[in-house]
Amino acid sequence: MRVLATCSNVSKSIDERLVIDSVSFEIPEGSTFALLGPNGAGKTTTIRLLTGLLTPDEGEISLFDSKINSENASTLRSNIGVQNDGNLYEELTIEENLSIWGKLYGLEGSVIGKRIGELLNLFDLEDRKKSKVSQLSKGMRQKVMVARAIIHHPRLLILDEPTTGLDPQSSETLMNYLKVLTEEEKMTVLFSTHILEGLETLASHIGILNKGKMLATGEIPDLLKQRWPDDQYSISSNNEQRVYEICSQYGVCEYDTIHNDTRVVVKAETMDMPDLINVLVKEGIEIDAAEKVQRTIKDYYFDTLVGKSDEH
Amino acid sequence: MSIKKVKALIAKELLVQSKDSATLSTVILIPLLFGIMIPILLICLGTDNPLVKSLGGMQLILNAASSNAAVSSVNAGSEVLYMILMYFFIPVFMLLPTMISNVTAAASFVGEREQKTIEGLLYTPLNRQELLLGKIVASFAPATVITWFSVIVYGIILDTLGYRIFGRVIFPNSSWVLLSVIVMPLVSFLSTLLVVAVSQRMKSTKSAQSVSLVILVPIIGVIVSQASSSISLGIGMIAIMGAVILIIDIVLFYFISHHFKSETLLISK
Repeated sequence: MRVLATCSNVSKSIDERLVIDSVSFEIPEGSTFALLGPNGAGKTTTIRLLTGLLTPDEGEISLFDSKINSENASTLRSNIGVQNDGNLYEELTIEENLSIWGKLYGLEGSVIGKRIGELLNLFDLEDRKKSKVSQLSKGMRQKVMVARAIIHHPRLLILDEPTTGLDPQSSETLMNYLKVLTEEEKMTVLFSTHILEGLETLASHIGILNKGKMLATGEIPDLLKQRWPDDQYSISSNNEQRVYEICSQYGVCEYDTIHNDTRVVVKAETMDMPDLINVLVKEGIEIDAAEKVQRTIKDYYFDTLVGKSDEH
Repeated sequence: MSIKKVKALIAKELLVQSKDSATLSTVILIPLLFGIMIPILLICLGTDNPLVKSLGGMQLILNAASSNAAVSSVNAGSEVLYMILMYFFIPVFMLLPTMISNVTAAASFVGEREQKTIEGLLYTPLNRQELLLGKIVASFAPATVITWFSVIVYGIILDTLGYRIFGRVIFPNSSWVLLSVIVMPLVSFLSTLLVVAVSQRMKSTKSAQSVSLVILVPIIGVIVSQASSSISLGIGMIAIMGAVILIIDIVLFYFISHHFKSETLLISK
């Protein structure tokens, strides 16, 4: 798969504080890359570096096969669309906000009008075309910001915390629009988010940042397979300590730190599960559930951050 | 540099300005007060009012200008008012575009940062020269056009309401034409450049306006004092003054655009 953007050993200090520390990652063309990390991890700074708004102190950033520098950054940005946590122009209408952006990206007037119609239709905003942004809800504003970011059909769409401040319903609606963009408009998407639930249905790749360091990056199935190569079963019971002691005698097991040690996870290859369950029942343990563990990005994220941050 | 993108930015700036009631009121009130209301008041009060009489040193200036054909050709007794309206008001009109563009330019960068819209704009494909030029033109051009409009209205007031006092049409003279057409826009451009340069490091619109005024006052003072003495300046001197300011404008624009960094706007505290 062709690589659209590359960060190689990028470091950046702001006010003498190291904000980005030797970060490396790649965004393959056509991928949906989720940039994850706690507040202050360096996600926004990474986006600013990637778009040439900030210059790295060390390392290299390449976009669309060109090494980014102060001279070519603006040209490269014409192929990027960015939604950030900034604001739209409050006193202007939705149509005016979108039209301004179309012109700044060099679109012709007739193209802008047609494109605005398409976007308002896509985001269900047709009847609010002439509404001032100051009259819109937070959810609608976010939709307009995404619409503004894609008005010129960018090759790379960057969304910085697109669901911040949204209620769960608006958040899900916006994420569904994002799915439409990736599937129908074939855009490569980089987005930072705090929402981990169900992320695997949306993202193909992730990068986990913490305190300016990239702790893990890659394609989601590969990362999950690397972290948990063997099938695992989770056992919930009325006596986790006893289950752990018995399981330890038969094979490899551990407390499930992701679920606050309320379950015991056993490696299926190291023991025969039906026999183990029989033993546990004979020991008088009440088993609530014994199920195959389906690892998710959320599991991977917290497992990666264990001991590396006190913010989650 | 893409003129198309600069035009798009200018159109955006003007649209945003037109919807900002605070900026709009300043842009309208300043020329209305200084360019129209005060001159009308002075003419209506006539030549025998205490304000005109109280201007210290006026007689000295009048004596110095007595050899000036324009001054001696107006009705007897109206020379002082003529001097006030035709020469003392030149600095006022020179300052008008500076005052207006100071408001719009400060709102342009710091205002966008306050409103959290600047980062979105920086993500567009505008390069630093396009961004600066668009912002500066969008600040200084309306200020200049409004000032030109005010000058025309001012001239009409002088030539209509003032006709019975002066006994002839007095406006415009060559100093007014040259200063309005050449020097005034260049001074306005210069002041806008300085405001923009200062704005990058300011926290709020008000502080940007205050700091830029501190920088502007001595510079404008020098220009204004030269313009005020234009009674003794010939066309050549005004042309030289214009050429000098033009060079300063160009050099300063390249200097500022070379040192402009989006990084400063994003992370300066």
